[in-house]
Amino acid sequence: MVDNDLLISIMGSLNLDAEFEAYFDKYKVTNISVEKTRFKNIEIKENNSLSVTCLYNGKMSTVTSNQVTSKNSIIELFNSAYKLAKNAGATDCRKHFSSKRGQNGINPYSKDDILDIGGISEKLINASKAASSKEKIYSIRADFSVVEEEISIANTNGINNNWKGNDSYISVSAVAKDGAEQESGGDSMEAIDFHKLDINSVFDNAIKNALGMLGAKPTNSFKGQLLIDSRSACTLFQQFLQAINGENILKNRSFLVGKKDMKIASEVLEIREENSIEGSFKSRGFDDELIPTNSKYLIDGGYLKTFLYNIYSAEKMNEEPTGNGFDGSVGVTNIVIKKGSSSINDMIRKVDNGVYLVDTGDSPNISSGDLYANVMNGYYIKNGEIVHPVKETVIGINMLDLFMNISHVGGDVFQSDGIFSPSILVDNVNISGKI
Amino acid sequence: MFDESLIDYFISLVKGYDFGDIRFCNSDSTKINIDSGEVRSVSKLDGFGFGIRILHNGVWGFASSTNMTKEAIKDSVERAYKIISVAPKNDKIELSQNPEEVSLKPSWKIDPREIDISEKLGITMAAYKSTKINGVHGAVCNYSENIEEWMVGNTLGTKVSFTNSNLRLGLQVFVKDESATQFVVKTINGNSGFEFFDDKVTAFGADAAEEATHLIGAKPVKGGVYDVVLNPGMTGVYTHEAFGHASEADGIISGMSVLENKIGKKVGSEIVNIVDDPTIANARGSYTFDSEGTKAKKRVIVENGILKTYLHTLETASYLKMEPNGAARASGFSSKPIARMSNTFIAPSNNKEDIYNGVKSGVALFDFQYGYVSPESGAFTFKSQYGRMIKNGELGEYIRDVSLVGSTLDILNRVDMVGSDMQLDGGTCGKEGQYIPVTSGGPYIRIRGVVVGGQ
Repeated sequence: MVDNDLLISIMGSLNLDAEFEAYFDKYKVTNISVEKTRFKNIEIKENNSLSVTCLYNGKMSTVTSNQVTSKNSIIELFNSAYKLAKNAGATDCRKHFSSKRGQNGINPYSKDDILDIGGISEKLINASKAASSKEKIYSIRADFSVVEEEISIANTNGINNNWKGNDSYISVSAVAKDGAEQESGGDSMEAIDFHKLDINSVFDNAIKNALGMLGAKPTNSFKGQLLIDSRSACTLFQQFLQAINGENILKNRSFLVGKKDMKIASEVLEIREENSIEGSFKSRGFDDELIPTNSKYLIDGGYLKTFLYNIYSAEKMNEEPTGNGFDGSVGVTNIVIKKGSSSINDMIRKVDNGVYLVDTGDSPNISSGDLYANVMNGYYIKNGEIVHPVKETVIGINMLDLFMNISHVGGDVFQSDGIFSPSILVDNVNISGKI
Repeated sequence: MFDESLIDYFISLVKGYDFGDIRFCNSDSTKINIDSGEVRSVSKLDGFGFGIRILHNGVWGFASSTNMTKEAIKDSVERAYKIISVAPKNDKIELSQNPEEVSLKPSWKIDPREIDISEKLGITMAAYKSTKINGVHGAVCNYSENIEEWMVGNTLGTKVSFTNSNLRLGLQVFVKDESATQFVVKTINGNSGFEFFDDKVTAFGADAAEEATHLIGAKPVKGGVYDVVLNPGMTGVYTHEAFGHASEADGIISGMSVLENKIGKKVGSEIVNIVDDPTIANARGSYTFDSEGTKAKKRVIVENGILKTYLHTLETASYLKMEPNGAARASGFSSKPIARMSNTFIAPSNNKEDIYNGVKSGVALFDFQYGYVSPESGAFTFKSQYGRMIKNGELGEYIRDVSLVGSTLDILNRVDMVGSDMQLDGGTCGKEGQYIPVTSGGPYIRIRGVVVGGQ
């Protein structure tokens, strides 16, 4: 078993003129799938891998292997990283690896509990059978996953950090049929404790979304309000993070270049990074570059408060790293959009003439901020009432206009991959239907 | 390469008439990233291990290990049977396959693993530098190489070993005007030896750069209904994403595809033929055997507008009482084979007529930027890297932020011309967390009266 003591001991014995950082990742995922009323799959995947990064005279390389069962194989990995850095290392701004410890105690781990695979499978099948018996529901598929992960990081500058987390996830897709028409809808839920996943509620929402899309048609073209469901809002704010990514700012590839400390959004929009939220897998006390993470405002009172920097982009832009070096670039822990008090039904009632966007696969052009989004799942709203489901209708707005035109933020919050977002209501949006 | 006796040992552990298979995979990959002239990352990754499956009374058990010993195989078989024992019961199915016993050597001239990293770095930098022309604001170049040695055996008598080599060089070239930064993405790729990287490296970089400069000053298009021409890149993405995924038989069985119960029925214009062919020499999506050890073969999915077959694993073929056709692919030893595409395209025609002829007012879409599709309903959006207006049969100004919006079968029925040229573009296809190399393409095609997303 690889642990930091072993890695530190090996690094101490290397007689090489370079610095090293070793990252051991122990990962296990259990997937259970059912389709229609039939059990489909149980899959347990485990992977233990060791990544060694070498810093040689300002040049950097990384080698990764899952063959780390012996001390000799690990030593060989260090030698391989050294050779690679010396012969063809990448440019990095670091003269040395980090000697800051970060916060070791942030571990989003629920109590150790044995996953009852058989019991969960039966529960999924029963929910699937109940769903399949509903009128016009043709097919249903559910995927349930539990992830367990442990990370150990050590380097030649004395850092010895650990992180442990787990997460669980359920997603359900439903197909509704009415004559020749076939529509789909889905829902999902995430929680670190799999007991907290409300399986029946996710099935109910998926069915509701699929049935709700029957009879979908394009809207007319008009300028109106756009109500963005909390699930789609999570995706939208994920893209906003790319626009404040220090590397994109550095390379002039973001519509937010030069906008720091400027007003870019409505006063009702407040966005924070929170590095320690109980119940979120993304909570972490240090980033992948071993810089301590922190909680901070990204947008406050409509003003853009900061960009996000890893060591590379911070050095190039004469800034301090913000604890956002993840996956070889810039990333985040948790992102929380401050919620309001209105339920989704209250939000719908605020729409005089507009579209309720439940799902789109589109994302904005980060460099221009332009967003052209096809409504995959959504509804036309008139005078606070849903009129009909919508398809082949495209939303067009620039992200700066979208942020400035947010009039209300809902009280409903959806959690997806560390983003916690309510639904948001935007005024003055171009909505283009079939001509 | 691998110890074949481990297959025999595995088979000896499979109980009674159960089906069992074992997949060994040894992978080596190298990646290089150059951004704005700086080498930003150089990394190597290797992985080694095996995965086993047992099918008992219609229920699968699966386990994997990175320890290549008999003890690890025995432990994996026990874990697979343990999963089966707690899983809900299913209807029993019987799998069949024409068993093969063959060990194939790679056909390449130069093993990429034998090439020093400095040479690979040189190629990547040369491609990057070839983009430096007037008007280009910046570029990113990525080199990736993934060599996988496989050995697959099963209780039906299959015992095959083979090697796949996926080489890829990708460029993202940026241009900037007063309103926006735009980019184009171009790749060259193949299942080949290192000899693949000849003088095409700099030529493709220069082409990408020149193409990108056309986007300077490009304006968004007004959304609406247009006659549309798709270039091979966009033809390919429609064929792969909208139609190809819908033809994967696991989605048919789960009732999640618009192509369910459509075999023998008209699904598109009679001038449309859709093929998935893993036997194309050196193509990124090619392979000799699939991950279940079934010999790869060409599949004609649509012939003259009629749906002819689905893409099958052994299980889906059994379930639907059809023939396995070698479309089971796993992204590594720890993943289970599922129904996947290889090189998927609309077949070219003999038609030499100018495809823009007869388009009074339309839009031509070039190459794929991103997209999404619901195989269940067939609804999709595919954003192109750029477009050009068509007026009275002539190509006009360049446009940006333009996408094709529609539903799978509606679009295929609106195709009224298929060109005679043909091109395949390489990519990586994701499904159920597994990522595999593929290509997609075809000729230029013309589609009447479809929604174009824009301003």
